[in-house]
Amino acid sequence: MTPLGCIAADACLFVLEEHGVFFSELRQELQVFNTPATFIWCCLEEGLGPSEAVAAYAETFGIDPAEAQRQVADMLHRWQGLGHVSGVEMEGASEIDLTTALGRLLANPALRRQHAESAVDVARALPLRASDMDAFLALDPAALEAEADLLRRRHLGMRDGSAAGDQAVPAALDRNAGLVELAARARARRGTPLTIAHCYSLLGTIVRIQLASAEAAAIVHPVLVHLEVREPGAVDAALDILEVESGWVLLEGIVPSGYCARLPDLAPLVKSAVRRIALNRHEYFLQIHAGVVSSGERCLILPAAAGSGKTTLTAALLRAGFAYFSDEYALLEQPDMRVRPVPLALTVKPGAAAVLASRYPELAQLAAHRREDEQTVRYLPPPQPLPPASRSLPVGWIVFPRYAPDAGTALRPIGRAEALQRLMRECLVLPEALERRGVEALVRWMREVACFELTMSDLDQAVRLVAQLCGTTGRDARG
Amino acid sequence: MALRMTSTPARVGIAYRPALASWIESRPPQCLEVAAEPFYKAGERQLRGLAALCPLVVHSTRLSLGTPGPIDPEELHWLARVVAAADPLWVSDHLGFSRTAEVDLGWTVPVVPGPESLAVVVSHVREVQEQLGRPFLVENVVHFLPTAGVRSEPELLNTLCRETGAGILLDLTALVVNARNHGFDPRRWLRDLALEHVAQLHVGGCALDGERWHDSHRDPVPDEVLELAAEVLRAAPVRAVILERDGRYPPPAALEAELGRLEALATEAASDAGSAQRPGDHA
Repeated sequence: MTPLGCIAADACLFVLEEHGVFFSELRQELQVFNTPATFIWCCLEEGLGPSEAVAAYAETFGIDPAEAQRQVADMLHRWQGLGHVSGVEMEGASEIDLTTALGRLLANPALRRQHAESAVDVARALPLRASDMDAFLALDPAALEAEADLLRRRHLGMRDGSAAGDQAVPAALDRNAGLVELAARARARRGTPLTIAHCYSLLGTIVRIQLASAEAAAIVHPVLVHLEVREPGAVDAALDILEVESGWVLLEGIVPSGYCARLPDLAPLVKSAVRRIALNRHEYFLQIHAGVVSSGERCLILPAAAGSGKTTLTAALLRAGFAYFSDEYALLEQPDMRVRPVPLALTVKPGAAAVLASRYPELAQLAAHRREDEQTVRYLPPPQPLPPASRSLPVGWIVFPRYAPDAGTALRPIGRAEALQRLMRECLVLPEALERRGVEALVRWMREVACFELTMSDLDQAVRLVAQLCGTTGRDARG
Repeated sequence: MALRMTSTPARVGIAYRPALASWIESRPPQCLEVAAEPFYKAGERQLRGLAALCPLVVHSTRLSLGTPGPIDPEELHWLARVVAAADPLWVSDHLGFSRTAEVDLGWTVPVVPGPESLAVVVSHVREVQEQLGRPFLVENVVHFLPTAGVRSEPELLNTLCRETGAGILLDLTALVVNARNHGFDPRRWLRDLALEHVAQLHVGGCALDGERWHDSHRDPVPDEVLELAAEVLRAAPVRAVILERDGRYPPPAALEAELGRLEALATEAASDAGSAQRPGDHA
């Protein structure tokens, strides 16, 4: 019996409830397959032949054999075109258009090599619709390679502004000077020594901040004071804040790493630098944009995009007795996806400040800072005591909060495959290339975690629902 | 969009990048181009702040106008939110596709020379115009693949504009890069373009890497691009010239000097508005 096809060495699938989590190590592609696609992949893994697979597919999904043949063949040809499977010879696949064919060629180096050898054979195998044949055959293999290389370069960020060594452009009074030069001049003419120094600890990293201006210190220090360590054994990183002609330059060691023109912009810049330094020195598997609190010996993560009410809910849960881990970052660590605290001050935006005023009357007295994105924010120090940096906890619950003023407040369970997709949408950083072992651990972890969506219009009700979910009703939540 | 020659100089501005924020605030340009995607899910307040500094234009990279089938409703939804917050003079995206139903390529690839490619783009541009309710421009891209088949690239753009009323965002750096890589005369390309549709110019740096030129946007604008800009400004109803700089930022004075050169070209062209010439007419 001829098998359906041969799975590429770098491709694999992990079943998660009714879905499959597909991973291609070579392409660093992670996606969730729907149930029919998962079924077909399982047929491939089990080495079924075409007729066997089509019969099983038709029976499982209750469709006629001809339609089953088409659907199975379409999926197999798609995977073959994208390089996940080879050796597919199944008849009955739908023809594809030129754009789809070009997408496959640009995504799959092996298909480009086959195209260079015989474009006609590739066109037949895809199969390409007849009306696009002339244009397809006219594609120049060298041009295809060049276009794929262009995409690769764009993908690597070779044309964006984030490349290492790129400095912000200061609003300098001396308009001929770049940031490095401004910083160097500030150092050279420094009459006032940087006499104010504080050390802060985040994720076990000790950062020393030095500056000369008491005015600047009064802005920056309150934002980090809860992380202060009085007698650090050793300093891991040094940040100097230098006043220059037109603003403030942040020096990380001897390298200028940030600039702002105005004092209200300084604290966000410094907080961001401390966070970046600590995260860069810490080993983790995934960084998820999420609020994190703990209840007992497990933590609850609240992944969501900005504006979803993540910080508001996190702050309100702290008042209900949960312990603080982070309002923005969930660091998942291998092998079992435990989460470590990143207890920076909570970033409260104007809308959230009003909602939280009854829980945190002190918010109104906190200084207003202006972030790079023009948002005016207040930094709310988290309640003490903070969890020790060494204390990681397993995740008990994932709740995706969504502020929806007209939708009522409700907590509903969601499928784990949907939850994984939503979680990965909030993935900020993948420090290392994904490997099969890591994806397998991620799926294994997802199988054990309860996943929910929380729509919120009433914060009190939302807190009650989450507290019930986590089996706590108030001040007893801290472990 | 109705365009005509005017004696008002084109606005000169820069593509907004976070690293330029302080400098832009201290010296607001005549207009700013904001990339739509970074503002999809947050940043409406920032957009309104930028709009208070100077007029904005919104540049999208995610509509994938050349992909057969419906436009991704989620992309259009987020773009519409950005447009509502930015209140831009117009919106633009590229003549090409960045994804198919199967794969996201992450960047725009030119429209492939199939028989239906023009119809697909026309239909999508009409849908975007209807949904956004703003003038819409389509931009030429750097490419290595053939772009038009039965039609040349300028013919494709001309027909698209004629059939949809869209305008052209003419990326002169992309044109020069393509001309150098493929060995054609950019002025001949421009002679084939219906310049009355050109509403905006992109200019930026380019660099030779190995055997190919790339629109690096990390170097000063080359003289060849500036010369073409001067010619197009005299011949087309350009309303904005945007400098694209994506890294290796120079001190403020150097950026301001580049903008100053472009402003001088725009002013000069406006004063010559009565005697419009097509690029290459003098040759």
